[in-house]
Amino acid sequence: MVENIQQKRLFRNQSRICSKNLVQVTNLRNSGVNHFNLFRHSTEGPAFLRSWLNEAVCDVAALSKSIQSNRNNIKALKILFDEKRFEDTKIPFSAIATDIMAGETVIIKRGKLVDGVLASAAIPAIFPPVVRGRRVLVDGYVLANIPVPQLRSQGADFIISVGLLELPGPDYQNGVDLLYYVESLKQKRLEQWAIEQSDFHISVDMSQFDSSHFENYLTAIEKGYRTAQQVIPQLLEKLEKVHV
Amino acid sequence: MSEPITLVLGGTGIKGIASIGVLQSFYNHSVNIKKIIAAGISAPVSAQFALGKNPDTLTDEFTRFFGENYRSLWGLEQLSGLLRSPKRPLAGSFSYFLRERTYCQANFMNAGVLSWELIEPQIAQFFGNYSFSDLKIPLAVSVIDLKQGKNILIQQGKLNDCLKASMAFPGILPPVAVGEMELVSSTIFCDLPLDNIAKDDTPVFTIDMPMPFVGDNPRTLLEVISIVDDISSRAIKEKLLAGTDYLFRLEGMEKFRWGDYHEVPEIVRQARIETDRLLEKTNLP
Repeated sequence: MVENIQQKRLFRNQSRICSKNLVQVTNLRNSGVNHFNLFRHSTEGPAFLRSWLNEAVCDVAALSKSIQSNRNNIKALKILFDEKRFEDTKIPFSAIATDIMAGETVIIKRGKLVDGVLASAAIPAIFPPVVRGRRVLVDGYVLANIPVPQLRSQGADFIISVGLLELPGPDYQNGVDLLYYVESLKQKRLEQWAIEQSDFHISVDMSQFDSSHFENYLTAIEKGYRTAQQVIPQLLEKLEKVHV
Repeated sequence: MSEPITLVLGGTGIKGIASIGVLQSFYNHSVNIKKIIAAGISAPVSAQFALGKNPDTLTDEFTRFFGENYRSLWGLEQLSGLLRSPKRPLAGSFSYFLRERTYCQANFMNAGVLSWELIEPQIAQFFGNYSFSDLKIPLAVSVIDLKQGKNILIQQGKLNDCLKASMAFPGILPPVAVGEMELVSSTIFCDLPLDNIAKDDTPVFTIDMPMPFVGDNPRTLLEVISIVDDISSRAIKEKLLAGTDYLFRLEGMEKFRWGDYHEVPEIVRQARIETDRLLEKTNLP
């Protein structure tokens, strides 16, 4: 019973931390970070703009490693994390990235948070890979969108996985849509295998959200919060059973 | 004659043509193939074999086809060699830029670089009127149904469209509509069709035609996508291979790329020699 109360208190504290971070994220709007969303205009804008953007993307694709630079990401991450390091986090935290030189997942748990999170969020083709020594790092989703085995290897005894990936619709307009769809199928399969290894899974219904529409993030956060709240009784029950 | 086996054949792009050499070797060693599961170009090769015809007739056909259509396939061979030439001279770089741009543009404007008009007559010539029920050895063709969002095995109906679908590699050829389904090749998901193998009493024999992993600092967006796609496909393959009873890894295939269509006879020859060697070393069930 005492343990249960402590766990509830812990969850309440976590929620406070989340709300604080949410305020920080909201403040990014006034920070001078450029929020122009190329992809939104490439699918929704007027025909001439779509066509021009497609041509521009083709040029960029043949000349550059990515469509956007990491400039805005770095600016945004610096506002969030400043000079803080992985070692400063109150709860042990690591970021997952993929080293495309070695074709393997990398666990980042030391150094500046800005550097680790930047590599972990470098979505291939959208943002350029982050070079760290001999490693060339991109987003960890490539092999570990839900990094259960990576967490287990660090000694975690009870792992809660959170699934956010929704398959895009099967309707396609061109070959790029097709390639994206098949890549999503691959990620879903890898994710499924990871979830099987977790102790408790929370699936957030993200079907109404599009990963390229950033303006809905507040609704998405709310959705995640409500879903987690709904499953907390089952989670506490499971935790009690396994005596964690 | 050995105990009956289920043979799994795949291979990315033109490397699937190596299945000709594999099947010839299995035939010469009197291996009793009860069923074939194939993906990509391995599917038409297996269909030809399952019809009781010599699959080697396809070697000449493929060689002739690629010889005649070299211009239409402009750039495909080069694209398959992504990351293989660390230092490109200026002229090569410009040509490479044009090819990458063409690939991107074709995939923004259409559903692939090539159209079916190029390949359809050849498939119709070989398999036009045949159905799965005409095959002497049962064949299952692995494809992805876009509507269902999953890998499926097709084992009945007309061969023609299913074999087209098995070669409909996203980014290169458009999907193929078969009834209610919209199909693409499953080799983009995993180059071996191991996803839906129902375990029965026959041992599963898988032939892997590996591609070397070329980890390199990419220079273009297409190179980034190509490496990432390769990394995730390898992870899926590694996991799925756990379900196979016998694995023949044809290491000699590593030197060929998925667009090496000038190398068709050599790919087939190499696959035959290597399968012969592996079969001689293996105690068949």
